Amino acid sequence: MSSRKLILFLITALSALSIITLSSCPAQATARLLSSDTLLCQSKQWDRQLVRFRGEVIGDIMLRGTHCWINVNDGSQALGVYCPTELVKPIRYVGDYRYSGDIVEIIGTFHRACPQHGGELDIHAEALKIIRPGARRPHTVIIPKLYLAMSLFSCTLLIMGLYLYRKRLKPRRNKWESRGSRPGDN
Amino acid sequence: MLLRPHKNDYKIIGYYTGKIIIGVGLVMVVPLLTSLLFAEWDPALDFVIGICACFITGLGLIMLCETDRDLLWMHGMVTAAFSWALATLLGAIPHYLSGHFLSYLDACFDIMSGYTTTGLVLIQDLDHVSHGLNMWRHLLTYLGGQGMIVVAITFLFKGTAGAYRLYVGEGKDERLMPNVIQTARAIWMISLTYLAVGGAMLFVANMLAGMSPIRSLLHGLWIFMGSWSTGGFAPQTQNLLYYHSPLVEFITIIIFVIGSYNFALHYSVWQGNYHEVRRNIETVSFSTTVTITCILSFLGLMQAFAYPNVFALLRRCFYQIVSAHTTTGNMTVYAVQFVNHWNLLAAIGIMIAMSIGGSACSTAGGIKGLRVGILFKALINDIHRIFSPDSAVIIQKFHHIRDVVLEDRHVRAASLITISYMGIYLLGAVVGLFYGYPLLPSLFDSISAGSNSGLSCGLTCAAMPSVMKMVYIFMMWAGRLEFMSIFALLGFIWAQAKGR
Repeated sequence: MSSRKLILFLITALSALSIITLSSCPAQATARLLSSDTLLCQSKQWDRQLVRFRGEVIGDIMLRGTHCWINVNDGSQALGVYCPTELVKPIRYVGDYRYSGDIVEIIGTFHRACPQHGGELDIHAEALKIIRPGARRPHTVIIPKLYLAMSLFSCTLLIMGLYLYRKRLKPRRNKWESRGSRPGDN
Repeated sequence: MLLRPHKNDYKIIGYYTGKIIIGVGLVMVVPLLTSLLFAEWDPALDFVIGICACFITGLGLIMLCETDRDLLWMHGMVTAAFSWALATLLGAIPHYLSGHFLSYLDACFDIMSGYTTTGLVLIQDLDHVSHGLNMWRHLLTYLGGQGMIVVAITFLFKGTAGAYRLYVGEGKDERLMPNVIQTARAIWMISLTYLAVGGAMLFVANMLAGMSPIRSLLHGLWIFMGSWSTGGFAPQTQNLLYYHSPLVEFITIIIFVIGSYNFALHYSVWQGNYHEVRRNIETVSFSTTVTITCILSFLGLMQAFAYPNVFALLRRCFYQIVSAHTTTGNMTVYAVQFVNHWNLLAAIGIMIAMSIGGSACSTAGGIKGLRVGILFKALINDIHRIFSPDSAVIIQKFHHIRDVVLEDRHVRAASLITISYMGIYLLGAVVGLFYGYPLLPSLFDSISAGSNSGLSCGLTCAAMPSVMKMVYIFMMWAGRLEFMSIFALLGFIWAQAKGR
């Protein structure tokens, strides 16, 4: 290959790369960070627009072939996010009783009623970034609660014992009453 | 002359209420075991405290009010209403201790919503709730669907006459079998069989949706409980939207439609009488009103251009309408979408569906298909009478397990209950308007609470005024017990104050 052809090839390749980068970056940069409340209340306004949405990944990562569903909760409401499987690979924690899920930022197209998913309100993610990794949620036993449980349990056993004692005594009492006398009356 | 209740009346009510409360305590053992199984120690303590509170109260009432007397009608009604109220107060203990509620009133709201199979919730941060608490939430709605008294009658009662009065007090009056205890057991047999089948189907659907086996199993069980009982509870904040699965939606529709049918109809079908499904006044009424309300909402959504294609429109519209009509409250749209996305006509379709509700003696709430059918037949009968000679004797019949001649007493009873339902729908709406909410959300959520549906357009939340929460609790309670027990309890209190 001559040097002239090589230079021409490099220029073309660089130009193509620049166009691709420029065509994606500005859109993502201009995508506005919106809350679930805004998206739900102004769904018509943001329909089919590129949006940024930030929140905690909760529950499950539901794989469906080349794509998957995650649910992202921004503290007010969780929204369904449909994304290519490779985007969710960095997610390590999903929120449940034991863990706080990773806080992610999604850039994607918001659908008020997605034609692909039977009219569901969702976001089709194009980019996903971990803002803050999740962690184990501390769940310690509260000591006063433990004492309360122990004392109530003791009371329950006491009352149950008393109840069973009275129940055992009842047939005897009925027997005495039917005889018209009690032991010791004589 | 109004007679002041005697000491013995209190004893009878206290004694049987005690038994029901012990039943609630026994049921709490299941979430306790769930918590222990998943090493959730703090929630386990909440359930130990709850169980102990139920046992201390229940045994205390039994010992203090010990009696051999059987229940009369008044006792049955008052006990049903009182035990539901007390079970709510005690059942709310694990809820409140979990830290997921802003106040004890909120915890009581969710418990009453569960027992009455309503499905409105005030719980905070549902996505981080423990398995134990989720088991309790769903179990109580499952038991509430059959009826707490049915639970108690099955395991803790011996006599049958008094047990039947309690059973009626809970808003059920169908005897599947000659003996009420056998009837209660038959209700359980039906529900547990469906639990096994429906739970397994949802487990598979969740696995296909991409969930892990354990979560598929738990979620399958919980969604079944929520759907079958027509409660509408779900383990995640997004309700059914969480799963993004048409298969889960399809299975739940089948479950809540079956769940909303009369237990007498179930039993009849179990005995091989398949024609009953086609002939029964309730199934005819249900299919007619589902079609009408579906058309209304469909037209409304078309007018609003809410969905991009007919398939999407049908899928969302049909699910919401059937969920509303069976008073389930499972949702595949977000609450605020009813106001922002759907138009008034579509929302009216949902409100009519919710207010009518499912079948009598089922897990569903609302006016009930039987009453709507009876009132419609009575209207036809009256129109027929106008066009007939004075001497003509017109006999109108309806089919409910057997052919029944329509009499004035049927129409009177159906009218009274219908008026009572309309009254509480109006009450909730007026209270909402008083607090400054717009008419549509006020009426929507009021009908939802009164008919034990659980669909919401966003008004019901922890931030709503306490008085509204209390009114909604009353509406859910009164709607589920179909008023008579509540009237009996209020009458009992009135007699104590003013009687001689």
